[in-house]
Formats: sequence, structure tokens, C-alpha cells
Amino acid sequence: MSGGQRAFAGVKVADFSWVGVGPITMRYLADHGATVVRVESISRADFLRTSPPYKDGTPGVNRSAFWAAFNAGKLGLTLDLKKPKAMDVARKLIAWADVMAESFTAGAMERLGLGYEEARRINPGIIYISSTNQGQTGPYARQPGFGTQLVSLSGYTHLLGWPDREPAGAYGAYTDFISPRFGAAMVAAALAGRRRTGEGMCIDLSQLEAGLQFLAPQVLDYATSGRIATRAGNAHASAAPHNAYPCRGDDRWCAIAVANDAQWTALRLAMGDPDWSQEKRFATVLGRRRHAAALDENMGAWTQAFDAHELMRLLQATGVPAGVVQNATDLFADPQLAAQGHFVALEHPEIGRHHYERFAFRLSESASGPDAPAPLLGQHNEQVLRDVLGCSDDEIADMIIEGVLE
Amino acid sequence: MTDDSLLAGQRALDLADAQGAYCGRVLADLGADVIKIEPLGGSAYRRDGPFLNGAPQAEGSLWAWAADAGKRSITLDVETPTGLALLHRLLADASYVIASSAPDALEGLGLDDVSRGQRWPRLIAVAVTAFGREGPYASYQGPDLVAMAMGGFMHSSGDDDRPPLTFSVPQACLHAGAEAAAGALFANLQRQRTGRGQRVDVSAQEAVLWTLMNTNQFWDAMRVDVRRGGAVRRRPDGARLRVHWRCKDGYVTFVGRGDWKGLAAWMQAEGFSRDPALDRDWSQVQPWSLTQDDLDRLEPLAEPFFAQRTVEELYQGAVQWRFILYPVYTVADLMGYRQLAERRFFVQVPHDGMRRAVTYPGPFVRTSHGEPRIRGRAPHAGEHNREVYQGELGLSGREMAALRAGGVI
Repeated sequence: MSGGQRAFAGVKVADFSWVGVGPITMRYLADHGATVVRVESISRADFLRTSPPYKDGTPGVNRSAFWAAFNAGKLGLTLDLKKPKAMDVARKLIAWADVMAESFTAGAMERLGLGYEEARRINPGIIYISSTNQGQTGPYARQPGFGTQLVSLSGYTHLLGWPDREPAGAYGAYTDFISPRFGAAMVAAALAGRRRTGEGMCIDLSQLEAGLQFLAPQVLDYATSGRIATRAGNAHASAAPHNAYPCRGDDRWCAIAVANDAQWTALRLAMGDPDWSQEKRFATVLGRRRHAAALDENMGAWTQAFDAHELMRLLQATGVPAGVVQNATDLFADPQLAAQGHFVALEHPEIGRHHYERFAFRLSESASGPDAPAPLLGQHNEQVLRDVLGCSDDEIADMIIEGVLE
Repeated sequence: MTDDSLLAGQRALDLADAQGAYCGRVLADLGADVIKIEPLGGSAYRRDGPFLNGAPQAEGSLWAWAADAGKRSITLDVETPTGLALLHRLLADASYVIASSAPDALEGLGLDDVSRGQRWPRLIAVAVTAFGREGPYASYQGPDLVAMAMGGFMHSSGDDDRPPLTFSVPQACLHAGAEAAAGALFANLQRQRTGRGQRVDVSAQEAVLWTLMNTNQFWDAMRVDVRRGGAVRRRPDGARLRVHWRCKDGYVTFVGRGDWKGLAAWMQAEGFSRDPALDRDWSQVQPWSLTQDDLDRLEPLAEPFFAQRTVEELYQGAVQWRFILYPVYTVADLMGYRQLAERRFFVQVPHDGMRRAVTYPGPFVRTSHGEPRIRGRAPHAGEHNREVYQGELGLSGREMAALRAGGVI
């Protein structure tokens, strides 16, 4: 990683988005050198600012590590957009920006007077990205929702769980973590396009439609054969053993995924070639799939004596794909993530020294952040107004007195 | 941007296996000319399901159809000196090269000097691996289950009395592939200014960490390790709350929080329940402020209300009563969903030999200036050998025959 220039050096971002997808997408840009001004309202604070986890469990708008994770490295500006002077500031910010992001329910920005058409009138070259659950158009465009529910509408909840039980679903707002990858890729492509043509664009990111990209094989399966993908535990159509196996300790597991006979042979040897593993019914993938319950029981009897990490190292060394079902404690101690520099410790004014995560790629010729913690509510009001937008000290003082920055 | 192709004129050479194949698909949707370079028998993931009509068959992997839509394909044995030399000739016109799985996949292609830019100064070389380029696990095998486990996803997913779970379909490689596309396009933006390419290294494990929502933050800020709870979530503060509910013909997701206000109003309007627990001032209920006692009173009231109604009745009721409740849909439900139909989301892609075009998911975003789109069906292995080797590299028919005889193409 050589320092100096970053991929988004010189790029200016007005980030009016909130909650998950919009802020995460704009953090990709901040991490790679863009100046990102995050616009917030004090009276209607971002829902994640009032969501746990808070530092030491004590609530406070500047204490949520959840909110901080998605907003590192941005400049914090608060505006009460019901006040005309605040709208003036918003328009100045749009005129200044290369990229503008928002993620309110479809139609909300238009009603506020900050929709794409208005933004384009102020700044013809603007790249304006709107992120919503279901897109800007269509009969359900205005139905509110968060990723926590969209994960079900988009087909994912149905695909996680045991076939004999109700769906378990993912712990989190899973689709919120698909969309930002497409949003970041698209904004980078749009910026490169604009440098060639001078033209900006409006991007309508439907988290439902972005989420469905990762289910394309299942869509094709239904379209061609009428087969509906469903939940199946950890079973795999052409691999066995393929499950999480119990290890020593409380709720400790190691995932083992044997895709072919060579890996099965290696696993048998690692287990000391016990009698059960020589049974004919386990000799082929087909047989192991058919007798998965017996296979898993025998496997579990062997794995439970091991420490999960010890088992992973043992199996990987013999060519068997295996990995610990890592919990958060493991992840923060993971030597691989440490070697990748995944967690970055930064000093936050209220949270104190805590960890931020880097995205999943490294560029050899562009350093990447985060370099600064997430902003406090309104932390950079004066800096943004004076240095970015060129307001005078008197103007700023008036705005403070008139409650424009709330 | 006039022809819907932000990446028009850019070529990507795609040598990726399953771990990285999706990266090239994103670039192809944006208009790049993506040439899949496959070993002589075709990419290994052509043997991955699901399969057309359920039966494993050559050219019938729907996984490959999805991953390779809009690409061209040539076969080339890059492990022979002649094959490697041909690859290097193709690199002269390439904007991107994508390799995957082995941490030294790029080095194996003679691309170890990419970051120094000596031979192909403008080339963006993308490596998609399970664990990244360096570190103690860099050489570990990381199929989907392993990446989802090591990335922390499985620990918080599934029922608490059974093993932790991942989805029944592969996901880590798609996160890694989309992340790789973002990285490649970030590098492209930088190249536009500097004139120089660079290396992009992607870790599937790190990509999975970015699906965990807030579990790492719970550990970091409060030393709480979130545990899995399935349809009845185990909240990090210990409370149990139901999020997926059985109804007449399936399941719906209702997380509660302030949404109890709309549900309570609907239940009361229908005379379904007069329980005073529904009467509280819901505007004062903040996310997370419902206690276990609250939940224990409210959930038994809602359960029969949901159980007596269909998924669609509940979804329409939520729209009408202005609260958030979403259906648990299958892909079949989604293909009939009015929102997607009216946005003309699904697209038809013709396949030769098939009577009808095949339905695919449409663009990953819409824009005012054209959309990413599928350029066509996935290629057969080596379908474009003649077009690329003869038409574009200028090889003669005799040279082609010699390469074929030598087992190079």
C-alpha cells in the first residue's frame, strides 16, 4: 500500500442518507479519500444513533457504536431543513458536491425540495444516488421498511433454517450488506463516466433488486424447472460432510465442507480411519448425502474432543476445507484479520478508543481508511460552513442563534 | 454513456473460479467486454448446481449461467508456456484481469509485477481469495460454508438448540465478487487520473464480516457476544422477541418496535382483542424499549391474529394501517410480485436450443442514463475461440490447429 493519492481524492460528497445502505455506501468513498459531509437533523436523529450497542451500555446520540461503524471519516453537519436558511445551506452543499446520497422513503426528498430534478438544476453534473427498500417507482415504492424486514421480502429468510422448522432467518438486515457493494461500484463507474462526458446521473438503488442479484441461480432454477429453493440446514446438494460440527467448550463449532472423494479420503485419514468411515454407505458423495444424519453423528462424536481452532488447523493442513464458526471474540483475535489490518482502532471523543472495520478489498496504489472516527452530531458545523461553503463568521453565528443548525 | 455502457471499450480477462466469477459479471453488465478464459474442459464451477431441469449436464449449470451471463469464453491452458504467451498477448488490450482462489493466482500468471506497473502499466489486476493475499490462513481452502463460518455469519444464525447455520445457497463468493467489482472500479477511477493500474486484493472472509450488522460492535463496545435465536431472536440484552410469525399460508416478518402501534390499531378496529396491553401510548415506545414482560403479553395476542390471516392479507393490512410488516417470500413469490413486475425487473434472455427465453433478475440499479444489463446468455466453454484468436489476435487457421493439437486451446 503506497500512501499519497487515493482513488476518490478530490471527490466531494453530500451525504443526506441515513440508517444502513446509504451511509455504508458513502463510507466506501470516505475511506478512499473523498470528503464526505454527513447531513443530519438533531430533532429527527438517525435511527441508528439511538440504537445499541452504546459504549458501556449508556445511551446517547454520540455513543452508538452501530451508527459509528457506518459513518467513520465523515464530517458531521446538522441542519433543520424546515428552516429556509438551512435549505440555503443544503443547496450550497449540493452545488459544491460531485455526489449526493439520500435514503428516505421515495418522494420525501422531492417534497422537501431536494429531489434529483432540483439537485440537477443547482448542479447539472451531480451524481445523485437514492437508496430505498423497493425503488423509487412502483405500487410499493412508498411502503416504509428497513433491511430487517426486507431480508424476508427478498427471499433470504426462507433460505435459512431447518427444513422441519419455521424459518430462522439471518440475525441482521442481510440485504443492507449486499446493496452498498453495488452502490459503491456504480458511483465509481458514474464518476469515471462523468469525467469523460461531463454528464451526471440519478441512480435508483432498490435494495430488493440489488439483493436478488445474489439469488440469480435460484431465480433461473424456478424459471426453467419450477423448483423453489428452500431452507435445508447446512446441507449441500453435492458435498458431504457439509455442516457445523460440535467442538470442545460452550457453543463451539467447526464447519467442515467435503466436496469430493479426495477430501473425504484426507478426512478419513485425519480421523484415523475409524471403522464407521469405512462403511460402504459413506464411500461416495451420493451415499454420504443420503446418510447425512448418521455421518454427522459419527463426525460429531469425533470433533467434540477438539478445540475448534485446533481442529481447523489440523484439517486444513491435510487438505480438508474447514473453518471455525467464529464469534465476535474470535474475530477480534483472528490472526488472519489482523494480518489484513481489518480492524482499525481510533479515538472517538465520546466512545473513546474503539474499533472500525475496513472494507474487503485492498488497493496496492491507494491507501484506505478509515482515518478518523465517526463525527459527533454537528461536530463539524463550523468547519463545513466556513471552509467548505465559505460562510462568514457572522453568518454562522446568526445560523446558530436562529436554530438553523439543529 | 449514450449507449448504456459506462465501461464501453474496456476489456476484462476473467480467469476466476467460483470464488471470483461474479466480479466479471458486474463489469459485463456495465458494458465491459469480459472474456472468460477457461481451462480446456471448462471452468470447474460449470459442474456446480442448480442444473437445468435438475440433472447435471454439460452447459447446464445455472450457477454458471448466472455468473457468466454476457461474457465471451475462450479456452486456454495458461499452464503451458505457449498458453501463457497467448494470455500475455491478450493482456496488451486488457483493462482488467481477474483471478481467484490461490493467493498467488496472479503471480502464477506471470503478473507479479503488476503493482510496479512494468509490463502492463495500465492493468488492474484483481485477486479474489477466501482469506486475502497474506496472513497465516492465506493458503487455507475457503468454500462458501467455511467463509461464512470464519467471517462470523454462522455464529449468530440459526436455532439455538441446533448447529449454527448459513443460507442453503452460496453467498460468500457473491459478496466477494461484488466487492471485487467495486474495488476494480475504484482502481479504474484512480487510473483515469494517474494513467496507472494497480492490484486489487479481495478477501471473502472480510466481505462476510460486512454482513454481520452490529455483532462486532456489541463485542467492541459492550463485550457482548450476540447469540443466535432463529425466528425468536435473542436480543443482545437478553430479551427474546419473535420476528418471523406463522400465518395461514406461510410466514411474515414483524419486528415490533413502534410497529405495534399500527398492528394494535388494526387488531382493535377488527374487534380482535380488547386487551389493555394494546392500549399504551405507542408514540413513547422507542426501539428496544419493549421489555420481556411487554413482549410476553403482546406476542400471544398477535400470534392468533397472524395465524388466521394470509401473507397477502397481512401485507396489505400493514400498508393500510401504516406499519412495517413484510412477507417471507420465496423466489416463486418474487417472480409474481407486483412491485417487481411494474418496475419490469425480470428480463428475458434468449438461449439457443430453448423454445422460450429464460427469466433472469434484471439490473442491480436503475439510472437516468441507461442501466446495467445482461448482454446475453453465458457462453459455452470456448465458444469464442475463433472470434478472439483468429478475428482479434490475428492467428491463422494453421496456428489455431497447431494450438488445438498441442492441447493449448
